[in-house]
Amino acid sequence: MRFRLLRGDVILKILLAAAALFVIGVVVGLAVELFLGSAPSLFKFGPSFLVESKWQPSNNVFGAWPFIYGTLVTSAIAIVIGFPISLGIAVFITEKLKSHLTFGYLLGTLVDLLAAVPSVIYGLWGVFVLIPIIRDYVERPLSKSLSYIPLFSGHPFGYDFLTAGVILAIMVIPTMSAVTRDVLSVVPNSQREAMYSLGATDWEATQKSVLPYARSGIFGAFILGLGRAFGETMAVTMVIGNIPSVSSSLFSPGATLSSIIANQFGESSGVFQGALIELGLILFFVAVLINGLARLLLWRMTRATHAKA
Amino acid sequence: MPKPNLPTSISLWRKIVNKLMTILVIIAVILAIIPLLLILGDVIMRGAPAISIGFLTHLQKPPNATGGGIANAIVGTFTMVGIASIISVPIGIGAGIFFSEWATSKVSTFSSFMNDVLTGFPSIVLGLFVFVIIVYPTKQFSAFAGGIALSFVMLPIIARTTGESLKLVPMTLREASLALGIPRWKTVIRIVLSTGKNGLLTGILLAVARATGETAPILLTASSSIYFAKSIFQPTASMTVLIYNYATSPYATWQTQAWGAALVLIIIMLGLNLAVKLTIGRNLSGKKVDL
Amino acid sequence: MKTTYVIIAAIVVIAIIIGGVFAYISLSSSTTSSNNATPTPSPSPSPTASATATPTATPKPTTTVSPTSTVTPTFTPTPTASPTLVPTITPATLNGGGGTLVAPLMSVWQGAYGSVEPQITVNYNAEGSGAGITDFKNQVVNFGESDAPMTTAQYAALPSGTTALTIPISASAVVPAYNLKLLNGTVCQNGLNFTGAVLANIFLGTVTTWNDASIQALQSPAVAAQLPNTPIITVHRSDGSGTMFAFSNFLSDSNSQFKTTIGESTTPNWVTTSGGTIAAPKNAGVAAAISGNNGAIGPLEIAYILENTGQTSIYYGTVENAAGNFILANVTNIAAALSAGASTGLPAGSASWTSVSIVDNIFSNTSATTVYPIATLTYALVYQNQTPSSITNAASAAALVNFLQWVVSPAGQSLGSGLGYVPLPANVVAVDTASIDTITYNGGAPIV
Repeated sequence: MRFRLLRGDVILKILLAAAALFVIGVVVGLAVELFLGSAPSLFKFGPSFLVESKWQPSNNVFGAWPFIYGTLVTSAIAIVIGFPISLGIAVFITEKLKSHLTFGYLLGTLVDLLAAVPSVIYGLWGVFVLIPIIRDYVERPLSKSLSYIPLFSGHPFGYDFLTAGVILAIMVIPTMSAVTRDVLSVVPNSQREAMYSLGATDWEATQKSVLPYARSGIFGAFILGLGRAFGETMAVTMVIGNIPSVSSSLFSPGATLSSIIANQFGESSGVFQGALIELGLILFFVAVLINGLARLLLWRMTRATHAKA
Repeated sequence: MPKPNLPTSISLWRKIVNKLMTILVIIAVILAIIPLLLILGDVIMRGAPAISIGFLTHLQKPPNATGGGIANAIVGTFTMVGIASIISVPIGIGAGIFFSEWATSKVSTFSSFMNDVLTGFPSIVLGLFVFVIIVYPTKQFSAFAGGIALSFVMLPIIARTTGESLKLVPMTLREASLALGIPRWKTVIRIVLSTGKNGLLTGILLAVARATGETAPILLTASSSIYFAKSIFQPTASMTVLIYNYATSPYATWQTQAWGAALVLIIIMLGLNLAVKLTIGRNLSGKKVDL
Repeated sequence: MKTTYVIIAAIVVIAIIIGGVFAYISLSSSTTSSNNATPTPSPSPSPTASATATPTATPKPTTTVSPTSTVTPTFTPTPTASPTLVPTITPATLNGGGGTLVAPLMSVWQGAYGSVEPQITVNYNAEGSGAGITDFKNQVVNFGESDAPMTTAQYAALPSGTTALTIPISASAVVPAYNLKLLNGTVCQNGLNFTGAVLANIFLGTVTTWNDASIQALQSPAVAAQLPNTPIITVHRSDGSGTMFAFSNFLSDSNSQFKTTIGESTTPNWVTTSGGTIAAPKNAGVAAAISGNNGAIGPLEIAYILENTGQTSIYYGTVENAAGNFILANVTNIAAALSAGASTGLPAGSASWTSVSIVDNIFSNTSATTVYPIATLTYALVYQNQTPSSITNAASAAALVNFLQWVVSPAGQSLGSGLGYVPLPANVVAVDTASIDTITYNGGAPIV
């Protein structure tokens, strides 16, 4: 058979490549913009900006370290809480509810409803409802009995890393579980059947054949959740206290790169604004780093296994 | 598929692990449902008093006036999300197809990586970006600029989920199609895309839900207004900005309206979700989609 | 086929699309900016409760000035007192952006003004004072709005050859709000006495419990005996705000240690006190934090006390003024503060307003016996010469003048009393009118 270069193929490839390049263009444009906007602060403070932990706008002292710390801590809490729950929901709906399709569908829609709540409502609900709950039922008891552990030290007021992490977890669950559900539902039954024929229990079948098959998709869900946790501004900024601090306590108020930008951008100008934009630039690099590491991890995990049939 | 009976010689340990995992998974579901019920309950409690036909059709009013509504905010949000969808859905799906079908190309890997980075951007930075490239040069706050900002929020989500769903389409389908002499472009569009349709829809719905709920980028690009926008190149009200401003004001009337607006927003999203899944979300054999 | 060709072709496709979009934008914005038809809002504001603050205290704290007067505003839809307006008002849109403090009042103005001048549409974006100043500098709005006057650096950043007019359009006040359970089990009501010095020490962390001697000394013996040993929890705004500016201004005047450590600005460097410190977002968050924690105290904009009828555990105290009187804030004594503060002279609109502070002006005024010490103005920012641009033309310049005149007139100012805003006193309005009279369009004669 002769190999013909079809016009349709060429056109499609160009259009699709254009779309992919558009994505790159947007990100590059963003990076350039961040760089330009942070110039007043970038050249004034240099690399010491990264490790400086004081943030006093009225004295022109700025440092990024408390916010990098806050972003990492809150995202970690969000993923540690949210990822297992999302995976659990997805496994439950696709594996256990096979014979109750409508119930599974309803449950799935219910969880998806969490995604329909605007982030500003999460923030307001956090301030008026979640903070009193966490403060009164979780933090005050823990603080009374376990305050010698550094993790639970400090005044329990509710405006802290813990609440921010919990809200972020609630916000990333619908995304992660929806994508994971989709991914798990297209795993061919042959995978499960093979495991059952070897005498596996339900869980073993899931763990050893379904989950590895969908590994790349689950990883995609993880990335989307992580991205949401990194970038969420409104909800976090309302419950985290926005006091730049580096503390090992869950009850300590803090700030993330996104939350402090949202919090103080409206009142900023000059070097202050440049410093805030530089925080955005730092977030860009942190995201690149984390995503790069995650990709490396995935590549090593899938290197040995073959592509899917 | 009927589950075979487990042989009785299976070890106790494995049985216990199996049961334990089932319980854990159920706990996970409960843990996710609890905050949902709390939030929904709170929104309904605080917002239901504000809901009425007038609420949906009137324009905004000052705090001590009766009969205020959110009509212009609803239209504004729809407009901006609509503009964002028109831009981000084709480009997102296109990029996603590229990630999946030409996964080995260097452009594709790099773009996919950049796409992941884009998902993690704070929306306020995206708003700032659009402010600098569109609002500042044209000296005009507009619904159009707001739509562009939202499209940057939606784009990476759609691209990522599209890519992932299409990757899961079995290779055998593609090979069979090509073996029959169908050109590659037709294979991709007619076969791969329709098989992975559910994932695409999930991604689009997730992205739309995300964009509808965004506040910060709209604040910086579309400004605000208490009237209907006469064109997309004018400032416009939006539901999230309204919710934010009203809920943090000291006036009870405005606070109730804020929660009412939140309730309306959630109901609209639920309706959209259901409508799309029930109508378009059917697989090739016409069976109801397995969610 | 060669990948490079594909990439080049793809880039060309993107460039064409983006170029087309930009061309469309610039083409459509170079044609006349909006000409709006009649907007449809029909304002019928029925002003509700008046701005009273009666100290219903058990036990009663001593207040030498008891705020008994109530101000019941009446809504006058026709601006009977507005000065002569420009001859012909052609349709125009005014876009403004700035602080959140004046946003509710602005929405009242938008509706009421829309019925007076239906061809003029006013849009306002409550994005924050700093963003308002930035938008003003970038000339993307017809008027900016800010709770604090521009700083020297912000004046310097304005486009060269332009003069900015600072025009106060409304006013508010900051009160010390608290939530405290007394020894007899009841919640302390309005009227606990404070001085600037004591408040400064509280927020510096040197006064740590409610039964501290310096706090007890200010109260009547009955009240002082009821103050418990509860640690003081300090609450403040986590985001920048004009409310914090006024409050920190007052405390800096009262205590030099406060001035050096925390300072006066929209984002002061608050210290964490031993009893605990909470940073909450916006006034609503501060109110929620205070009402949720026993022993908390924090600065709150007065509307949040007067209007928030749902709150049951948040009350506010008096502040001692220069004359030695403990004043519980209400519309009357705030207006008196503004009048007294402006009587020492406000700069012309076109001058720098960086050091203008009502708080400073009345801080040492011992003859002003009824004034409330922590009052603050909120300002509109416009360019003295309106230069033609995509959002500014002859019609919009005339509309701007018309709108500002109406806003500072009694017709506009009276609309705020039902919402917790304080009408501008006559001397401030006089300064405003003088500034508005200097606005020109494209270098021509003053529009008025």
